[in-house]
Amino acid sequence: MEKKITLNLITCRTIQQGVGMEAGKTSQKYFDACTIIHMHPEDMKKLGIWKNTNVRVTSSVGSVIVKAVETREDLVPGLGHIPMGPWANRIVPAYTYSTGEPCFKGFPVDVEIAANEPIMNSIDVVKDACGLLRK
Amino acid sequence: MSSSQPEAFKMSEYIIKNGHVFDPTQGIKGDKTDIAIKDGKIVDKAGSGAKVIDAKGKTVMAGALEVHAHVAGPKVNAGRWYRPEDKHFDSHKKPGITRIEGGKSIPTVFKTGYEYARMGFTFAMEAAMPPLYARHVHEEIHDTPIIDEGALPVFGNNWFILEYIKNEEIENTAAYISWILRQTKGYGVKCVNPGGTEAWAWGLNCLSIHDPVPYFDITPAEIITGLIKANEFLGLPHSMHLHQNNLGNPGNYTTTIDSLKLAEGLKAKNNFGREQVLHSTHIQFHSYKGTNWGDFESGAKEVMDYVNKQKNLTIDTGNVTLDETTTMTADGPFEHHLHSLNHLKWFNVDVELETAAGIVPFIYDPDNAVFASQWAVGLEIALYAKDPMRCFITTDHPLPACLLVADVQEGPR
Amino acid sequence: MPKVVTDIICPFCGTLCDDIECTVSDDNKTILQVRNACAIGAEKFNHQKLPGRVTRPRMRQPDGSFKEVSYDDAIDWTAKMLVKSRKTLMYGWASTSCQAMSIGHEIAEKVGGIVDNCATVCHGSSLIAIEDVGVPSCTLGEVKNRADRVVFWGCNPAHAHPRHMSRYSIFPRGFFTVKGHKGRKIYVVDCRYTDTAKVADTFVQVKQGYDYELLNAFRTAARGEALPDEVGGVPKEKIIEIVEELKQGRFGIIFFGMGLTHTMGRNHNIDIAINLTRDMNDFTKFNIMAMRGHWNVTGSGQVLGWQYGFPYAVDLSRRDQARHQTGETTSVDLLNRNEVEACFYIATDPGAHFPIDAMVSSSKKPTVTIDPHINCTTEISDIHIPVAMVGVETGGCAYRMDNVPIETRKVVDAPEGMLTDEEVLTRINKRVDELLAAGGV
Repeated sequence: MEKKITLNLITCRTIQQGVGMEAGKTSQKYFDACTIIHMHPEDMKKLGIWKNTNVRVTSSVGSVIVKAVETREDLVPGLGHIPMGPWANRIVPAYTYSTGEPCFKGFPVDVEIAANEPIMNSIDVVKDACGLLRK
Repeated sequence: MSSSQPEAFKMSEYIIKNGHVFDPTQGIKGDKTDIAIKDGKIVDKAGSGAKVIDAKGKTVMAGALEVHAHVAGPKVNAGRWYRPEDKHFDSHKKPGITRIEGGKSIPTVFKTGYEYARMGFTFAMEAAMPPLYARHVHEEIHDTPIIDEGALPVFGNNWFILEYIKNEEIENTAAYISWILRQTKGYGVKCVNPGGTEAWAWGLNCLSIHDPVPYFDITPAEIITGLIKANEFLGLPHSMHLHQNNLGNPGNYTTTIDSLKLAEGLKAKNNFGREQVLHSTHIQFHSYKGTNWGDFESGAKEVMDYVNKQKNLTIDTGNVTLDETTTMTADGPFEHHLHSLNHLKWFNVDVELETAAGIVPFIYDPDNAVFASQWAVGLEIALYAKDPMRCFITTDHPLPACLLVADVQEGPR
Repeated sequence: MPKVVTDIICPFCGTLCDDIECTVSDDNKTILQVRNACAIGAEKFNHQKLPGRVTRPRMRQPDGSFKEVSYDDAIDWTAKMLVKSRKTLMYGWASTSCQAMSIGHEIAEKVGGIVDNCATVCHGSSLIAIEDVGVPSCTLGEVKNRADRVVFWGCNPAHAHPRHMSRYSIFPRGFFTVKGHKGRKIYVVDCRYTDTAKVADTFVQVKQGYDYELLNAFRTAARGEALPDEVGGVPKEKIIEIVEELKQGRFGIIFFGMGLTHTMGRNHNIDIAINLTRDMNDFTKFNIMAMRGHWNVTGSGQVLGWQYGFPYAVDLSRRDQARHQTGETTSVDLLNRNEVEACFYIATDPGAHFPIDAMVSSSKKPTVTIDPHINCTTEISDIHIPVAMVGVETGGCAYRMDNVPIETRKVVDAPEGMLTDEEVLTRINKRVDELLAAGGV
């Protein structure tokens, strides 16, 4: 069991994320669809977590709290997936290699247990990073 | 075809004074005469309130007509998308109320309208409109300033047309054409590489008028004849407009004459005074003798001997200018072939049930014997023409020539 | 009596389904039921009637709360922002109509805007590749009627284009494909065994980020040249076997998505896929198509194309020329380098979909967002102007992923007094003219 594991992260569309988006960016459906990280069962075991535990995912850009879930769409060990949205983009590196396209898929992240940390809502996670969240 | 002039303009009166007027049909060759315009038409006299346009020192003549060009629609725009270099050093805004203009061989719609107008054109016909994409063609026409534009829907590879003609149902062919013209606001019957572009959806082609189309088992000869007959059944203003099979290949003049012969004995039936039944377009590309690029030579004389004899044909030249341009045509297999010759980036789209399009950049190098011959063939076609009223000058812009290269001669801006 | 409206165009994804039906209330204000749409499309039509719709513009106050303002005030503020700023990012467009885009471009030319659409974070890589190498492609109907070899590379239509497989690419019985999916061989190449892979005949698991190498290997195999034992985690025998099978087909198509555009290599992943497709044409008919995400990102590219000559990232800030250079005129880069003075977002939500560093930069600029709903961007904007949902409450032209233009319809009335994108943009355009005539702000 490790305190922290490193994964290669991709951020993608899921149908639940699409439905949630259309239900509204502040809807529960959207929150449920996007505040998750799909992990391979072996990686969850390595980190010592049960499924549906909150974790802190940290990239070169920053950190976000999401819930670790078991994947439906088989990953390989070492690969993680956070559905696209403000939580995923909280940690996506903005560098585009002069192509205009940021690093949405394929960047290293550290994952640690954050079982008791709350997950921010879709508006706050952006506002907080922009320094616009009044506490 | 819709005019983009605002209503206020149409209802005005104008008088163009002091210009040198040229009108060959009336034998007027440079006389200083006034031209009066009322409600969008030329009239004998204008009222005292007419706005005066002083044309002192200027030539006054009827606006030129571009009868075949690629100026609006999906393949034109694909050309713009995939050639950002075409705008290199060529995006600018002239003083006044114009929009930003850009693009050398495939100008943006604003530049298209302005440049044609600057050269004295008042009309351009978009030569190939796939019905499935008609809305796109009209959106571009809507945004093209000043000049009028129309569009010709393509029929020569349309599944419904192939089946109706195969079953010798000319009335049904005509009914379908009529429906397409109304739905797409099209202007006439265009036929590009008949049968060959449907074959191209399987990677094949029809190079002679007797090559059967896969599955449909109909020949280009049958398609051409059927479309001419349907066109006359409908009595449309324009002849059936044909881009023959075998474009661009050495020795293709025989395919051309074979195709033109199909019009023999077919009579024009319409209320517009049209006496011809077939218009053969950019015929320069279809007038080559020889068997390969080594013995390539002009077949212009053979082709024009035939055209001169047959009074029920019109042609347009399809002249080449010796510079860089972007070839684009609904002759999809031809563009794939061209790409295999010059290895420049190739765009292709197969359009379900209807047609295809291909695009390849091209450099007509004056040092190359073949291109220089093509340039000469275009001139020969026009010089051999005995009846100028049956011969239109075109460049099939941008295919063999950037028509708007005339702008280059303007000098520094 | 409620009535049924048919032939509705779904304004969600690039598949642009045109067979949606809605039951609409008597008073033409509410959608009661949606048929034929996928789960996401259905949710969009259902969202129309959810309570809590914002119906008037809102302005952010110093304390962070929002206060309702009139359309006139919001438009005036927006026009002043645009006129004052020397270089404004005008981003979004992918969920509004072509008619609206055209008005927006007029404004951009006058005030010096950079017009960019969602392709910049989506299929921008594909557009760069097409600019380099061209593309052999076709319309979706050709796939339905002819394709017997269908490859999905780095895309997951089961999740992102849910009806694509049943309408065009896997299941339908077409004119020359009467056996439906039984007559087609389906291949999925992805770094994970997606739900789309579950309906494939062959699944190829590529090591994440190695798509370029694998496409290169496919191309090498197509040309009959030697391969290393394994490329991207895939054994060479499998690569050779698949390429041979593809060559035996009569019409092949490769659909691709973010798995290629977002991963290392970006545009190069696509240009090699295009080159592979072009090479395959030496053996059999082969085409390739980008799975465009938004229902009208293609339309934005088309209008920018015919007006300025480029498909996205068009810099009009000099007011006398149009420039396009990815890395320089693309939205994320402009924000990363702090190169714009104001932000104008329309029909989009970069707050949710741009990397956070770009949004931190954006949030420091005066910002106006025009969108039917509250989203992650509206809440950090100075002004949020709500507008009617295009394709639901107002119509307008859209372009499908294969560039086919389809005019979307109005299904129900917008909430009382709410304006459309076209109306708001027209008013902004007029106000900008007034301000410029008066010598600026």
